[in-house]
Amino acid sequence: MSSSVLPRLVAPPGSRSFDFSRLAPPDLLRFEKQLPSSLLLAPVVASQDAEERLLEVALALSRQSGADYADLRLGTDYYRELSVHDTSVSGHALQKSSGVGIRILMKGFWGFAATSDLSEEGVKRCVMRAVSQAKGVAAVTPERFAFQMNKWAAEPAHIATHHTPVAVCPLSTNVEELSKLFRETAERALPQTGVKRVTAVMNVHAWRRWFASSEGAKILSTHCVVDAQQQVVAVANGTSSYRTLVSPSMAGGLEHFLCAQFPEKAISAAADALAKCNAETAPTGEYNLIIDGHNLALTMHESVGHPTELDRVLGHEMSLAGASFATLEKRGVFRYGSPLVNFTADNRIRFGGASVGYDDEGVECQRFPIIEEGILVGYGTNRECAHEINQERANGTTRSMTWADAPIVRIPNLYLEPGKTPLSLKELIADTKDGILMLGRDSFSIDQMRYNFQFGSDMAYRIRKGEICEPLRDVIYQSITPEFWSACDAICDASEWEMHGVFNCGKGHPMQTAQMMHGASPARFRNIRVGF
Amino acid sequence: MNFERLQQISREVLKGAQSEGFDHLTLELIVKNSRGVRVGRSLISRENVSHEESTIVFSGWLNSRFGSFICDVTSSSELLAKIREFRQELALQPIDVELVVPTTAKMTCVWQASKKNLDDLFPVQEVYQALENAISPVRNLGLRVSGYIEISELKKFFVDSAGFELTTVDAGLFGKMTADNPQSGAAGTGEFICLASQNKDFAHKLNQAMDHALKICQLSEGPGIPSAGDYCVILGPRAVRDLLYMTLYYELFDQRKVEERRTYLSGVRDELVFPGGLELSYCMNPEGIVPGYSHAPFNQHGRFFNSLRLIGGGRIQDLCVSPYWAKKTGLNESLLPSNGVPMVLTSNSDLGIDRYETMEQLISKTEHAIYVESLWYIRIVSEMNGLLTGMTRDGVFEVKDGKIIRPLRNMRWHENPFSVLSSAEAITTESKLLGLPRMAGGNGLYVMPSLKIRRFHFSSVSSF
Repeated sequence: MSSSVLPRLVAPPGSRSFDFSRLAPPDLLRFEKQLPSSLLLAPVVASQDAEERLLEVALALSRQSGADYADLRLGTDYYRELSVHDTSVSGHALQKSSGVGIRILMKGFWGFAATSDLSEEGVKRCVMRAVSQAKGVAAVTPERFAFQMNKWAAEPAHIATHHTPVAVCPLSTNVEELSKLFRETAERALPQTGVKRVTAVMNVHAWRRWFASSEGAKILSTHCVVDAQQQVVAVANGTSSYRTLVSPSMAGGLEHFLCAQFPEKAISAAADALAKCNAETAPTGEYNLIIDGHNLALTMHESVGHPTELDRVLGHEMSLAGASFATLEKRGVFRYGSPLVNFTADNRIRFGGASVGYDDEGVECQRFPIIEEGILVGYGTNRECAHEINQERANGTTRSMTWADAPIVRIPNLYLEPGKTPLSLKELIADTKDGILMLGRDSFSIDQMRYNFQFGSDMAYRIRKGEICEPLRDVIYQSITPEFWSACDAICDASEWEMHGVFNCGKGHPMQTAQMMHGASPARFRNIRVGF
Repeated sequence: MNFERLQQISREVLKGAQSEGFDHLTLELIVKNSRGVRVGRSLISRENVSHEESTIVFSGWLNSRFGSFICDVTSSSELLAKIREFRQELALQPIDVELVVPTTAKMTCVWQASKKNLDDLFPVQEVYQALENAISPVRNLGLRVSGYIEISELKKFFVDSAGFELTTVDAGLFGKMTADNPQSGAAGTGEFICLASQNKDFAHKLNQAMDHALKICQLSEGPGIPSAGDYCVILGPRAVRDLLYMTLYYELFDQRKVEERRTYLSGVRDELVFPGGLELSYCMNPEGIVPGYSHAPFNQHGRFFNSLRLIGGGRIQDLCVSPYWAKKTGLNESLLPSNGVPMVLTSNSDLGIDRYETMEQLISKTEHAIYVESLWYIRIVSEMNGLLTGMTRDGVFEVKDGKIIRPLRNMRWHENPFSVLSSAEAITTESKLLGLPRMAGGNGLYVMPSLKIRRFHFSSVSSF
């Protein structure tokens, strides 16, 4: 495969270069296009000049109204959802929505308004609604609580563009093409013993977005994330089970899905689903777990990503998503995991759902450590709260779901660094006398302080004397976050490192969803409770 | 453009699209006007949101194919061009062998929750002032306040190729307030709903919710550490809502899954008995339960909706039958409610259950139990076992000899919701009107009592 088609993935620190080609089928060469589709490049109003004129109108009015700071996001968001059951396309929806969201800081209080009316008058009305909100809040809140502008984290006023490369546009591909691999997979799986149903869903979120601020920043970006999964359901032995094929949520176009080889995996997925129907549940007890990168991606999202969002740590999210046990006094001293555990945030990594170039406060995306050798060292910050941890610069993790949403701190692309000494999954299994191998994701739940969690796996096997033995069904593990990561005693090397992602990370009131990448090599955790 | 003009454009577009040869075509105009007011770190915070948006949803049925697209409202000629493009693509789409074309009647219906506009119903400045009044006493105690108030107005115009027209204008307010002590982790939450007809009660309801949050937060200081295991529990109305909402979310009442032996009820549907003649239904006429409530008698597909009785007389009654499954099996299709139709849980007999008027009375007659205010992060673990997991949240207490004696740390639980209802041994006649905010993806209203459950499984204990 030519590296000009899909560039080599930026390797995690401490690892050897990661070669994306091992994920790709040989026919990837046919994808020549590397730019956003014309759909994404199309201006929201008559022309790019007209878009820029609207930005100027809004910012000028904000200044005239006395705003201390203003920023806005203007653009179009596209959502596409395709659902396929068995070999039928059961649903297809394409959503396109354009507008502008304007945020004003005035007298130390915020206002935010959004509108789909992109006439000059409509944009001006929107600015004035944001202004009146900020004034309204200032009128009822004691002045001592006003935000001081000298605490606003500085950032150069970037004039820039950022386009996420898209090889195959998921917005302009017709439904027949889009559903083809799902239907082929179902055609292969359905005749297999016990298979009763095959369901699939693909989600796409793409946008063209301008960011502009009263500080002079002006950034045009296009971005696209695709996520797909297909579930093979078997009924046998008086019960039902499933196995899920996954094309992880990644930035780019359909090329990721086309590389995921669902049809080639259909028969083994059917066999796995049937095997689960006939499998036993693991007895409740403590086990050594070897957990693959796909499963760990979600565990790290919930138990490391969310607890280290600084707005959440400070209590902004308490009434809905909750707060965090990873409070500020723990920074630099708290043992979050074993010395093997290193978590890095990287919003510049290729294919990362959160690799958007510049965040929705105009801050350039960055790479920074969250946990080093098991110690909590960093948080995702925004420009308002970075000063609370004495950071002069926010770290580019603040995002709005669409043009209509206010920016909030989001989990960045976050990954567990691979082990530094050579160790394959095979070797790790061979080194485990007694345990369970957990593959893929299933049920997940965690408390609002991000301590107590439970995760399930899509497929699990008993390990005895260093060998994979019988399959198990409905295997879940429960733990407390720092106890779990402290129980990590081995992480496979970079050759086993996989990139996964999350498409529907929910946060905020009103609720916003966001996409981000997570990566890991398989790792082993000692004496973790399985069952309930 | 005003709503009437947008309606006019919608009618013109539908008329023009009828010559395109769809088997059925629906068009839904949605005009959203919402104000979200966020409280974070004891202040009305940065995410106080004003959002106005008009969108249009086209859904087309064509030779066993179905698709939809959603876009901003523009001119009728531009929208018609999009429909033509949509039809061309739909014609190439693979067929859906399970697709059933909906049928509606030629008629017109208009329903309006209030004739006032949103800013008159709930003036934002009054909301800000009421919020600051509610927050400041709690802030002065050194506690932290967070919360969210959502005021929303949803104007919808649904029109289809069979000549059915439905106009609805719904408005209301959802509120949730949390008080917590960041040092100890103690927290309490209060929720409230104001229907359009209850707008004058806003400040009173807000204060009640804040008071409740504060009381629970203060009671939660210094929690004891329980052991995991099976306990008698009292689930407050929010906890009952949380459990039942997720039971419906995971489609555990789906007829097809039951018949294909893919879900818990497959084996036990006819065996399950719920004490007290428990009734769980979506109910259009919860008269006496929700003063001032009304709703248009149609669902979002333009079908007449009256009620859906999932559990009745202590037995499973109507499972949810999809249009395809109805066609295949000859069963009657279930008409599902639109958002805004309340899910109601009641008991209509004393058989096997104790009935108390209020939660306080229920607690006073309880020898030993764990009282849970709300449940959190509920997910399915095993559909065949009907097994859900989740956490307790913002209020867990030990009840002994008729009194709350101490707070407890939060716990993880694993339970089957049908088993939970089967082992109900007491219920309150007093119910609470609850909701989930529309902007947060919630669906509608809930009218929920408190329940005392004989056996509930806590599998582990958290650290706070």
